[in-house]
Amino acid sequence: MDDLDEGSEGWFHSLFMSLRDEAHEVTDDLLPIMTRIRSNYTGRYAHPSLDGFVARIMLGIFGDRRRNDDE
Amino acid sequence: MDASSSDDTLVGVAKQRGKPGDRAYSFLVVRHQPWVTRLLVALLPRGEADEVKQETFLTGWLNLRQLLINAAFPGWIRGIAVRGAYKRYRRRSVEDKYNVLDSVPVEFSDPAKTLQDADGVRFVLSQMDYIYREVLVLRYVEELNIEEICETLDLGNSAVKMRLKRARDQFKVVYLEATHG
Repeated sequence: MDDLDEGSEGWFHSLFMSLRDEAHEVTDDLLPIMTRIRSNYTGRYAHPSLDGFVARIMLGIFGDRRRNDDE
Repeated sequence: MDASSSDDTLVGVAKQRGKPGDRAYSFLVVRHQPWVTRLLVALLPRGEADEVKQETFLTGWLNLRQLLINAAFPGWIRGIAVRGAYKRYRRRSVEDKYNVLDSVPVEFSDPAKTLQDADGVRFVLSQMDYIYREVLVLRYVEELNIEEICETLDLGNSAVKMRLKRARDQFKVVYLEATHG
């Protein structure tokens, strides 16, 4: 049991119920996600919102592949 | 392996990559994207939430082998989503400094609707400091307990409780202002 404040817990849970119920309204993004994942296999991934974190990971992956090819 | 396989099994297959790995990860995306969407839509405007969702699952796939306990996939992907949302929020905050007209998300700007529905609650959240919005969403939308919030935000127990208390206080202030002018 959480050591949380009093009566307001129930009020917040009740108020936020509408947001919890929104799970039924989500769009299915499987296709764009898997398209981006598959394009990553070929090294052609270039989405404008790609951030530095993912970019560094990709560089590591491709770097490893090049090293493996050299061997 | 099929769509009804456990997270443990699907993550194990996905880690092996190849076509079976792709298929396994597809099942994971289908299973978990509804609640990841719900989480992100509560934190960000819809367009940004959809982009961050895609980036979340892409980052998850790229880093899957770093996940030591396969069955812990939901908590792990939640952490990626929350960090991605925060980064997106920070980026927008910087952009907004140079473009004041865009600083209020259009989809949150209609307080005329009742504050009891999802748009109303989202409007109040959008007026709050991001760190408080974030902890309220984890607590009352995702219904995480304190320990789970600690893990997601990488904060200590007392820090989370304090942040949650301040978040509730701020929410009440904004809510009352919105409902009573």
